[in-house]
Amino acid sequence: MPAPLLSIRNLRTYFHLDEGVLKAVDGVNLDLQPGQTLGIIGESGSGKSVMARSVMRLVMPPGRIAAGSQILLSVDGKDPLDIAQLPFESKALRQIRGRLISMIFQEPMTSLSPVHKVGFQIAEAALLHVTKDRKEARAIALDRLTRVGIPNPERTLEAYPHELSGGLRQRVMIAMALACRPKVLIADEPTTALDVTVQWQILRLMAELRDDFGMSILYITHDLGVVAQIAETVAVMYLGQIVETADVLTIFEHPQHPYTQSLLRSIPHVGRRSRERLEAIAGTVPMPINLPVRCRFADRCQSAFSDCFEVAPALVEGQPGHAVRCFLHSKEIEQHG
Amino acid sequence: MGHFIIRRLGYIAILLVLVSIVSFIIIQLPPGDWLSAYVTRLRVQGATINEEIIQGLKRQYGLDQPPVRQYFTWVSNLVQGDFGYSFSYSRPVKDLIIERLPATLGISVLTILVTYLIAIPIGIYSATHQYSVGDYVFTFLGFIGLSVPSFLLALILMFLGYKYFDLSVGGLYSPQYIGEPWDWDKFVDMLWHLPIPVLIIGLSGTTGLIRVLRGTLLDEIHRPYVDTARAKGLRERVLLYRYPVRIAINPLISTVGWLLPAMFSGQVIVSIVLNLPTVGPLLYEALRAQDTYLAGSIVMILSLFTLIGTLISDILLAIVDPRIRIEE
Amino acid sequence: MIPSRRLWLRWPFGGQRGSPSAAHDEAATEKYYIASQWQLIWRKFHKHKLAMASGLVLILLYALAVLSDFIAPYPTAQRSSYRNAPPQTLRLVSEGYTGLHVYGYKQENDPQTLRIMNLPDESQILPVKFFVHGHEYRLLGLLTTDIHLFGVEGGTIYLFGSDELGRDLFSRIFAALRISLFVGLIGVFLSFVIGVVLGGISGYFGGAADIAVQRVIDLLLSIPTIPLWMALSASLPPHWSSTRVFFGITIILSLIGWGGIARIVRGKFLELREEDYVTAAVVAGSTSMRIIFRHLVPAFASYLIVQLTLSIPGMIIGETALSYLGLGIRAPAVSLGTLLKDAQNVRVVALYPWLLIPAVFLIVIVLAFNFLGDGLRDAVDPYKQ
Ligand SMILES: Nc1ncnc2c1ncn2[C@@H]1O[C@H](COP(=O)(O)OP(=O)(O)OP(=O)(O)O)[C@@H](O)[C@H]1O
Ligand SMILES: [Mg+2]
Repeated sequence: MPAPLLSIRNLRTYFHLDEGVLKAVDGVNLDLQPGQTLGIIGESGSGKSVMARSVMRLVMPPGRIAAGSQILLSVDGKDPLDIAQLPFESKALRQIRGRLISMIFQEPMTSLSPVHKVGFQIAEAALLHVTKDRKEARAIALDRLTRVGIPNPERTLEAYPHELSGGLRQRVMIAMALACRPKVLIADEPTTALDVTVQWQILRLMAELRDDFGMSILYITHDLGVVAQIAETVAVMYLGQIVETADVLTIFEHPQHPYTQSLLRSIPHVGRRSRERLEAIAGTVPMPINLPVRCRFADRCQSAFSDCFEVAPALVEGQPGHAVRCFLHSKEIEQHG
Repeated sequence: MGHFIIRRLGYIAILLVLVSIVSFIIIQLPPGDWLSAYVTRLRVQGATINEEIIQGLKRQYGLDQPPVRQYFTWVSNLVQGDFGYSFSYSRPVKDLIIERLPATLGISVLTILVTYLIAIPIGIYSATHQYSVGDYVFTFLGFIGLSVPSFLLALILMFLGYKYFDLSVGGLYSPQYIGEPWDWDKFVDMLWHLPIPVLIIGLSGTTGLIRVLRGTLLDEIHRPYVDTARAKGLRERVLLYRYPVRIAINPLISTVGWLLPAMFSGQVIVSIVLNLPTVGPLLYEALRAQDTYLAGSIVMILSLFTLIGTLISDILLAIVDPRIRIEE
Repeated sequence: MIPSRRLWLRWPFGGQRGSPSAAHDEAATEKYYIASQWQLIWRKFHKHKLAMASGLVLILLYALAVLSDFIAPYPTAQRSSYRNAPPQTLRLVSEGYTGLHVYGYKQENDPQTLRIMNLPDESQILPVKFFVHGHEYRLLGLLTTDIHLFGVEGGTIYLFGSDELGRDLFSRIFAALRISLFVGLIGVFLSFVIGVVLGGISGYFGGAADIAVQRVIDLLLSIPTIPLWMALSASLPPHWSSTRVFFGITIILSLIGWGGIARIVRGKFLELREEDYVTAAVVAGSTSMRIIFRHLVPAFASYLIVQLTLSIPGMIIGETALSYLGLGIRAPAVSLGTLLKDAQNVRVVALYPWLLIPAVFLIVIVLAFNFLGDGLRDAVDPYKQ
């Protein structure tokens, strides 16, 4: 296996609130290979966005990345750089943001500045990293707008975001993220706010662009259908931890964690016999404040037994490439250090 | 844009009519009509008045007509530039007001400029250094500025100036220049006299503006588009000024709408206390002498300026913020 | 912060799904919701130390103002031959006497200006007595009595000095507090009534009524207030009694203050009109008025309280400014503004700086209202910690 492009080790991002410490991300390990699309899936509140923002170092106080977390980025075989260790206002960090890693945010409506023209907002990224020439930056902006399939790119350059539809705005966001041909694209639910047809267009577009630009994508969503469409590998997140990772086929065909299984039962399935009922997972995701040390899913799990309420399971790779955090599959206990 | 301006103009016109009605009510409010009050006063002073002149004035201002007709007579006179006659000064109201207009408008414009010049940097500082010592100091000063009425501040400064610095705070020039023609020395002398009234008049507006800017900026700083910009790799400082500050400053332009009336209010009363040659003291004297045409016209003029200021700020806002044009 | 916000939004509606007696439950939940909302506000307000302290100061000042006849040793108009006398200092120990006392005045001529000066006379010890008999007054307008909180015999006690007519500034300030503080309170009440009625009509019915009300508010907001106040109060007839003038001034001040309240009421109505529970009430056949008062008003009462608190200082300042210019409260009534009128001349103030004591009261009052209003605003804002 080639060296991973992005390697997250024991990432812990905590929010220090009055009510206690909210462990939004609590010990996540992930590897992203060059050219690969990794899907992160989980319910609302499971810490997906916080994890993504941690990679870009966009977590603001009271949030903090805990000591010992590592976010290793190694480009072109160079020595890995630990993003987690970079000072917040450092040049090194600024050169990673936008150039090596870019991000598409959850809300296309509010993620663009309302008072700047679209062209400016895209060209700005190019001006920061690839060229000093305004004309050239503008040409890049025009090129990216064309690439993301915006019907009238010349006109769109001069448009303000509020003049565009939601789908177009999200395309603008993608164009902006692609301005400097990043190695890694983090997409945080880029299609959630859009209607279904537009959703599929954007998804197809992203897959194409990934191949054209040779990027890796960290694709965050709570929609299993989307994951099936775009990702090769899937990580399932629950309450700040990864509970299961495997390649996409395995996740759909042989899910092992009860949480993954119930997620799968909660979506309509092509070919599912109509008599089978769709199930919602009982209960809601609790707030990860002052959680006891035990299986985090135990309260909502139908297969939970006594151990689950006393100690926490470790994430164990039972078969190659398929890791599960559940006592039903491995008795290994998570060590807390 | 043209459409937008026309709509605003129409709206201002409606308000102008309403303002003129209020001004007319002010003229009419004192018991009895001003002419008989005036005539009585002259008689008491021992003057003999030609009955014909009285009848002439009555006709000119339509005093023998019902109030609604009087209003229309008054308005049509206004439109022709006839603001009526001041009986305490025995001069046309228009002349009296025009005399005081340069100081009134000059101080206003200066005050507004100073207000923004002081408030914007402090507002940005406070928002970006939330809960720092500086932020607390400015917040506290803001409360003081909000809580010390301007006339009292003028009084206190006058007292301190007199007692500890042997200075006469007040007026717009030193006594020897009053009534003198303009020259360089007089101008310099005026520059020395300007800061205190401008700061006093501007204080409450400045503190209000700081508060507004701090609040909006604190909101804007946490908007998603800031993260988008940060994710591009912008420097924090560039980012701050290019996005949230730029966006938070836009609505400040529309604060002129409440800044102007408050500023004129402050100016009137501070001018009375500090004896500045604006319309403030003129209004005061007019009210004390029941010189109603003068008083009503001053209220009308001040409101007119407010409306014009609001119109200008509306248009400016539409220019800098593309969203406004659409929403209207 | 996000977790609490989510909690706040969520809990009022939680825990009632599938309950058998839904109707009963709903009423109970509603009660719980309202009670808890106030509790939540109180808890947050409680943490705001400055606002709490300001609230207490204001309560104290209002209490003193109501009891001003009892607190004040002299009637406001009572003159003495000690003119422009400096404040007498309260002392505990002097030669030959221990206990609360002040020195009497002795009068001397200033050798240069020949002005009469009132100087403390150390040989004249005036013990301060409590609950002494003085001039008669009606306590709270009910009970005729002549008991005063404190006083001295055989001299005068001017804790804040006296004015140029030899009147006790202390007594006058407490009488003035009553006028100045209640101008704010009554004025705000009138503004509130006008604002809620017109804002409610405007927001609830919309259409022509809305446009008319909006234009009038725009009008009031675009006329500079002080000149308008000056013009209106100058036209109060000269023969009016000081009580009538007081109410006249209060009405003038409130006429201009209601616009802001009406705006808020209207805005809230528009916002809430869309919300489900109003639709539910309409569907259930409630009449318009019932909807307004049962459902809409409680929902934003807290916002109104904040707005009202914050508009009181403006009215107090307005009254003071008018009275300072001689266009407001008329003698024999006194307000902080009429007292400050005596301090108009800087030369006089430089000689008799105690004439500025009313300004201290004014600033404290306005500051306290602003702090209180600010604390309340933070407390009612559900999105603020
Ligand atoms: N700025 C913040 N301050 C405090 N807590 C936060 C903050 N941002 C996120 N959290 C908390 O962190 C946890 C994870 O949130 P996150 O936004 O990552 O969820 P998510 O998986 O992205 O959900 P969604 O699908 O709704 O986007 C939540 O409990 C959330 O309340
Ligand atoms: Mg998210």
